[in-house]
Amino acid sequence: MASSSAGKGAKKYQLYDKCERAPPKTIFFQTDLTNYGVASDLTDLLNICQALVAEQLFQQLESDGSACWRLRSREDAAKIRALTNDERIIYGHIESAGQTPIWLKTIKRQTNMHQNTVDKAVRSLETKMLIKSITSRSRRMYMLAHLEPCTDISGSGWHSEGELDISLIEHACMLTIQYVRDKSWAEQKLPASILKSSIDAKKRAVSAAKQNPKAKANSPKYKPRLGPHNRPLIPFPAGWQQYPTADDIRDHLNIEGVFSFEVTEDDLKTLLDMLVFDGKLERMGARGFRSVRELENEDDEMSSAFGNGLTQAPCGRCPVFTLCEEGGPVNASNCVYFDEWLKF
Amino acid sequence: MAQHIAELCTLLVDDLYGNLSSRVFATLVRVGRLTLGNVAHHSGLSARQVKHGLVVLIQQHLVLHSTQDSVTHYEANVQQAYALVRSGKIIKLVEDRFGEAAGGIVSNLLLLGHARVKDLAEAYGVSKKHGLNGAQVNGNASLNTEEKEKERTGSQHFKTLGQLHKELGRLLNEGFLKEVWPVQFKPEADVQTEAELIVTRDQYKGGVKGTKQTVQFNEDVRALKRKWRDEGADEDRANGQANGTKPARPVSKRVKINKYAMNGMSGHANDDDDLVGSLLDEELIVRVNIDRCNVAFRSQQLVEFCSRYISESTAMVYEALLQRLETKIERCHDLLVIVKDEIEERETAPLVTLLEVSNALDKNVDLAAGLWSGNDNQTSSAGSNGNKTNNYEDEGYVEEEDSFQVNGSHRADQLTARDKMIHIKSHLQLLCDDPRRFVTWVGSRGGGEYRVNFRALTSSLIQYELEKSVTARFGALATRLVRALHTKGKLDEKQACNICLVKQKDIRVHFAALQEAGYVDTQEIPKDNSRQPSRTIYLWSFDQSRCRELVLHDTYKAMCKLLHRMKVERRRYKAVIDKAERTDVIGNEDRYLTGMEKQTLSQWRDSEEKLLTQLSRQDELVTLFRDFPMPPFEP
Repeated sequence: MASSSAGKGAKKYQLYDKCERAPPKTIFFQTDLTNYGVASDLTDLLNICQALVAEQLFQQLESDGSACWRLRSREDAAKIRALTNDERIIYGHIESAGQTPIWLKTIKRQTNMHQNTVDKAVRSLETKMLIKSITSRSRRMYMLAHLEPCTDISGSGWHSEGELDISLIEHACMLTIQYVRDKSWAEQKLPASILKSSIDAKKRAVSAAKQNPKAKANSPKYKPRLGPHNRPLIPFPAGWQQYPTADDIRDHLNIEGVFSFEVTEDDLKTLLDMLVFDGKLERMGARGFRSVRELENEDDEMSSAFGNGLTQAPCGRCPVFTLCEEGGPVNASNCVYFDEWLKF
Repeated sequence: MAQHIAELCTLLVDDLYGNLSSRVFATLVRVGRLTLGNVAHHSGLSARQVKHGLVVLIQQHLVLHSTQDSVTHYEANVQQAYALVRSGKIIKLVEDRFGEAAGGIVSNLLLLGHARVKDLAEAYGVSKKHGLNGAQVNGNASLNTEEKEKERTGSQHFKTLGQLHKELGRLLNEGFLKEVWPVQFKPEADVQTEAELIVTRDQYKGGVKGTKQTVQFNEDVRALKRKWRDEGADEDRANGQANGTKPARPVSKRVKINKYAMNGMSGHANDDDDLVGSLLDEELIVRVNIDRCNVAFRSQQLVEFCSRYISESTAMVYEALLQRLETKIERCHDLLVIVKDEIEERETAPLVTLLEVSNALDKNVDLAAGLWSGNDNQTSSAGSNGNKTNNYEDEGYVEEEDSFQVNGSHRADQLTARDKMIHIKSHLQLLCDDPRRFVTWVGSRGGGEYRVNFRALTSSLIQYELEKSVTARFGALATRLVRALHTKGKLDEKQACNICLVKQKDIRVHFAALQEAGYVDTQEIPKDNSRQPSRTIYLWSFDQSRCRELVLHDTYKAMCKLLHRMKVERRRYKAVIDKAERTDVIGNEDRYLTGMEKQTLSQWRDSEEKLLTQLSRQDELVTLFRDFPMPPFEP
């Protein structure tokens, strides 16, 4: 009897040791545990698991109706074993909430305990450094001490101390745009023999333009940015598969960026969405991103690519536009903005 | 809001047709539908004067009229009046596409409102009409002199009647001109009433009952109106208005015109008067078709949109494609055809094939320019795309070489038909692939069949313009917010912050400014009945059509101001302008004008040109915001 229980004890530590070798936070299913070959049969395995759960070394979970287990560290287990019953129940609730902190009132409701009991238990757990409190939207919430609160509560990676870190975002944007831009457009390549003929053609065009002043008016409205070799940038052929994807960009940011944290998928998704809204990037196909064709004269207020016919006229940006009418105090004849605009 | 468009139209009429016409027009715009007596009463003019004014306005289609029980009502035609500002652009458009001679015809027709073919021929053939010389239809000021020059030589555009008819036939065929029918002089409401009366009389004697029948009734009315619009009314034919010699015509006139024009062109009847005499009906009355011009303007704006986002050379292919499609589209949006949903629209949309595009494409277009031709200059298999790309790469270079010597070289012709197709196809694929979906691939008939989703494209073009206004007025951050709202729908402040990655206090400033200008709206949703602000959710939203209307009316107003300012400037320089316009001074400027005067004159010209340029650019916005959008689907 003693030997069998000792054997079981040995077995359970054997199993625990084997599980410990798996990466942290692994969830073990029955088949996984059977595969370790510690238990002789199913009943044996169940008994071992039960014993481990009772010792708080295993945390019992449920997934799709079948039981599964997660490991606890020996220290944690020891701490939990030292808890009172009430504390243990409350700890269980907080633990099961995972990364989402749980509100005190919710605990009370779920456990059906008295306010005082809950307060006492929570305070004692807090002093034992098992849980920590987080204040969010003026509610006191609790979660396990070693976990980081999820993004709903703390904000995304772009937040620091509860506020958006604008300079960090700008830095990330710059890196992203640079990275995507370099892979989005091909520079038109011309063999040397053609370059010469193209120069000739250009010269002819220029001289033709000089002779015919009307041609000047037909000069293109948009001046696209040129490539590093001062040649026009052109799109890659349709169906191009090598536009950077979100994964590529994330890898790049995590290597090149000087972030104190790992850029997660969600963080990056927000950033990319924002850049799309900003008109800097556009989606190509299901996964790729491309930089929007850049214009050199788009930010120049005087160029025709900036704004439109309305906003470039004085009226389009007039602060007293709504007051302006013929015969009124403000009208087209005494308009100072018009004077300025016509003089310019 | 409507006051601005009314004011604008009155100003335009005043500018072109003088004070009398504009007073009559202004009265009709201000008060609405009136009889002759009432017009006289409201305008303070005598009946005789009003009649004189109305004659001009009706000839120009600026006033519509309908007679019932021997009382005639007059109504201002605001659409047509607004189109006056576009005349210069229409002439330019036709000139670019069909040459100076065609431009001359259109410019004359715009000036005359409408004209009989015979009269046009007389004006061109026998003697030049002096009236034609005044054709400064709001064009660019600097162009005025040039225009005059052209007018003077106008009669030389056509040496024979045949040429004129051929040109007219071509324009009719392309839809830029249309035949005039009496129904076009009637106000829309009268046409509707009349159509309803006729349909009721013929098909619904017992009245219309139930929703199902109402739907059918409305459809019948629309069908009748369509028939009137596209083929002219039956009774008019009986009157022998347009064509007395032929009785009833079963086929639509449009088809008929096509046939005539085709005959003429295939006949290669250069100077053969006899053959050409039978080309067009002498009694045919023609006018410029604004709807068709708007379709062409839409193509222009889309091409520009494309050249902004893809490249110039792809835009040229796109232009060819759109112009090819234009022949299959009569108007940007047809209010008389109800489209139920997207699927129906997709199925009825006209298609264009690769072959058609290739035929329509200008031979001098450098097709290889905007296409990427591989990884490296060397043809080694370093390219990741395998063998096929490498072949293609070689071809690409050969053609690039050709294309750079287009000027005066025969080598461009060597571009084999197959290569040309491959290039055009790549351009079209780029257009398909772009996030804005400039074209949609449908099937592979004719080398590839394509469709253009005008509804979606118009919407993105409008959004693009609106965003440009927002950027110019409120900065880039505001644009980001507007775009986010447009994509995501209604958002509360916190969500907007997280999506746009902006601090809450910054976002408030921008939202407030945008809301004040009317670009975005808020919606309050109280959480409970107390409706306390603290217990309320505030959602921000952006409504494109509302915003579009807003900017449209702002544009009307701004255009009014430009016209006003033009008058002010003219008044300021009146002395010099008057002197320069004296008949003895024209042509002898150097002799009579001092240096100072010349300088003042050029100053005035500069300012006038600046104002006119801006006017025409604002008109582009109006075209986009008013004429392109399609009506929403009817469920």
